[in-house]
Amino acid sequence: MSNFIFQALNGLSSAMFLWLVAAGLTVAFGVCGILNVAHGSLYMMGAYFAFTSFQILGLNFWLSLVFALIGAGIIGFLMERFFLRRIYDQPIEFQLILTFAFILVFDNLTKMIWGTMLIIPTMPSLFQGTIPIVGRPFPIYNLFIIFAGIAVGLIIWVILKKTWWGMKLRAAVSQREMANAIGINIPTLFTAAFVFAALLAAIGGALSTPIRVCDSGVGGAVIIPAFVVTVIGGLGSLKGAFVGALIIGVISALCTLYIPFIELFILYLIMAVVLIIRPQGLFGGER
Amino acid sequence: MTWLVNILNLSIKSHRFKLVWLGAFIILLFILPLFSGDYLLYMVMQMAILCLLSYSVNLLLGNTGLLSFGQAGFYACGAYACGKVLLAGTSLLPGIIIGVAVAAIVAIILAFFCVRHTAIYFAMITLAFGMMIFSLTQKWVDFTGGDDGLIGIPRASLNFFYIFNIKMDTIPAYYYFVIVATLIAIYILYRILNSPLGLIFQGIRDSETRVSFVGISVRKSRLICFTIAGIYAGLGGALLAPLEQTITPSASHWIASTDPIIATLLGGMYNFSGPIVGSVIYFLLKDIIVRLTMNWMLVLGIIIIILVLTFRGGVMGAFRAYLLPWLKSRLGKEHKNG
Amino acid sequence: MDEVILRSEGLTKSFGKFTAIDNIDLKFKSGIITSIIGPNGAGKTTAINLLTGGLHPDKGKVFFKDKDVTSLTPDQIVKHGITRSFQIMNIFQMLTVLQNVELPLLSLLDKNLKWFHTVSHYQDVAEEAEKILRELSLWDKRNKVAGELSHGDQRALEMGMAIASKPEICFLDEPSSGMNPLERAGLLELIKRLAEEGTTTFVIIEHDMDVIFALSEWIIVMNKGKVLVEGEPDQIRQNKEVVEIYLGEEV
Repeated sequence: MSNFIFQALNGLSSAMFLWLVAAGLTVAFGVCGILNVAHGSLYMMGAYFAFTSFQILGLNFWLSLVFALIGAGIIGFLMERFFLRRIYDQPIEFQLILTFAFILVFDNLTKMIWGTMLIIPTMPSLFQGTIPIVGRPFPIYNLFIIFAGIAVGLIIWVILKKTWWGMKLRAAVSQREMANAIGINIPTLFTAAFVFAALLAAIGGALSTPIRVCDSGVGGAVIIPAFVVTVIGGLGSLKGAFVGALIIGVISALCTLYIPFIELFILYLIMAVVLIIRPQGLFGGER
Repeated sequence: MTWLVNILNLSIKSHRFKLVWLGAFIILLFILPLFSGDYLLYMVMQMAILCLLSYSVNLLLGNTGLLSFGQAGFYACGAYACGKVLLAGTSLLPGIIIGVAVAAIVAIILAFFCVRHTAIYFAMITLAFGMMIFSLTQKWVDFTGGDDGLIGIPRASLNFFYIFNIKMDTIPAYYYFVIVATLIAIYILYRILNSPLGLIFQGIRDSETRVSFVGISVRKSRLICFTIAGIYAGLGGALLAPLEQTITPSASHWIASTDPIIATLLGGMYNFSGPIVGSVIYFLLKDIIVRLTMNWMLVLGIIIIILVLTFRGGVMGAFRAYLLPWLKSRLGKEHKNG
Repeated sequence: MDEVILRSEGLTKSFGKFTAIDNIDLKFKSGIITSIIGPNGAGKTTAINLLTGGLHPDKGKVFFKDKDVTSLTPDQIVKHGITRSFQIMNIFQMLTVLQNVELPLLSLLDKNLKWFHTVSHYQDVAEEAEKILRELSLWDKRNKVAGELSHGDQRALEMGMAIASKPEICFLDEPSSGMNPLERAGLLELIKRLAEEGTTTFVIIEHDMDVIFALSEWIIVMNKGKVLVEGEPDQIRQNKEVVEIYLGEEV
């Protein structure tokens, strides 16, 4: 039993990474209508920027997170402003193909800049150590991740529901023309939203560096589970992304413990089943 | 210049002229082994297989408007099935036929789940199924050999009811088989797309609701389209097995599904010859880029971005829309001056 | 000839809190040109959608010759002999005029699974297509891309697709919208001729009163999702309530 609880908690913490990427995917899709296959690459950029700042430049952990955000923010801005903006009204196939091309570009650029260097996890001294949970040592950092993920969720919720900017965002989503008519600058808003989405993914990547190995291929790898999560939760629903991430994270972790060889298969099976029975996911709209 | 423009113009407009080009192309394919080495023949075979896969993608995308990320799954089914059959000791044809049949059966089964959806959901469910097949090929070690895959697949001889027995071990011999098989397959697809069924597919791409209201079941038509696409992908895979003599799980990964998508985009989604042109160009491009730089992914990515943002009709589309009118206007200017 | 071939019982449809169709019983008699009129928002197009499989009702049933067709898909309903044209142009913009008419004929003549020969190989399809296009005066334009036709021609094609399936009952949703007087006259003529020569029962939704009163043998007036009144044209013309609801809607 304690194995179960321990592993479930592990699952919870890895779920947070999924949640952050999925949240970014959801914001990009819900606001801009873009299904960004390259969102995993933004996670990867966050990881590499954080890694560079923290390990190579020797900066403080929190500062390296900030740099990760700045770096990814700039990339997200460039992506939206000069490329994605042009295909908003195009059929979805072109969006998928274009953003897939970005995966190729980002993967390769990463290899060019950082070589084939792997990101080796290095724990900042602040979080070293473990806490006993159900009699077993549970890394403090993993607990921190769980709280960080929940905190980000709350921050997003507050921004969307309580701030002026959040209101504009929601208006733009539900009634684009009307929002335009009352003076909300849609293009700028979309750019801002996409940058926000990029930041979410980047924070996930940055936070993953102390405990996960990263290489230049991680962009394409991370996006798949993130897709599974958004499908289950419902494309366009942040609540759904969170719940979906929890489900997938915990199930994945438990599978690794009990039935490791078909973990991947189960994941995709769940995704397929959800798409067949209830394509709009748990919380999604009519689409 | 005039003669050039006239030839190009005729190529687009005149049916007979297109046949001339086609004839020349086929003749070239058949005499190629006479003056080229094995490597070139190998490359052309790979192009042919990619071409079949591209037609598979194009059938769904350019005709019924659905982007599938899972065609690699059917490709792998065809490849693994053919491989297993050949490893059991049969001659070539049973291997190919069973490979295609397995892909077709899997396609029919999955079709029921996939065709209820459109656009994003279709892309995602095909991705999910494709990756399920991937994880099966990786983990079902007893049957598929796991990460090592199937190895030592014999390039069995073509044994036709004991009437004749052609050995396929040499590259040129297998080359002819692949080319003939591919040409027949493309011809059949050509007939399909110009038939009533093909018209229905185009109608679905144009206006799905209207098709329903003229009395045609969109769902049934999509099922058929999906199955045919699966068959073509499976054929590509089945032809691959004796060629490479090794099949690994990477053949079914969703990344493998993107090669034919890019080739289709390159060649042009809205033309019948798009997939052929696209496959050839994509292959050559990759070959050239890899020799020039290690950063072929970057270059490929940039090319795709440019294509999507500007030449959405691919090479064939750009040819008709830009090159030809430009040439004609140049011709006009020459006449004025001369 | 005067039997009811299509009818609805207690048909109801709501969109959220808005009740578009409120418990209506419609009856359409074979061979009689019927019109449905009513102010905007009365529910006319919704009614057609419900009768032809485009929407499923919340309550109630639709009967075609005593067969329950309520929950059938549009293509099944067309196969039974009920077709419709669309208010918002729904032709195949990227296909040629000929191809537009060939599609309904493929379904009618059961050729939709044929995959080896070209469409024109099938004589019956080719003959029928030519007949219809000549009827619509579109034969000369048969190889033009449908999206490039004039508005009037597109509307004609829209109608042509609906009648190509040789339906027993055909709903025309605002067939003359956007047409100039010349085109409108041509349309009137066409519908009259088709109704006389063929076996199709036409049901027309229109706003143009000239068209309505020139063609109709029976008029159903709808308002706010209900049937207000129905009767022969003269009765309707003199009906006080009908005049009232249209007073706000002047021609």
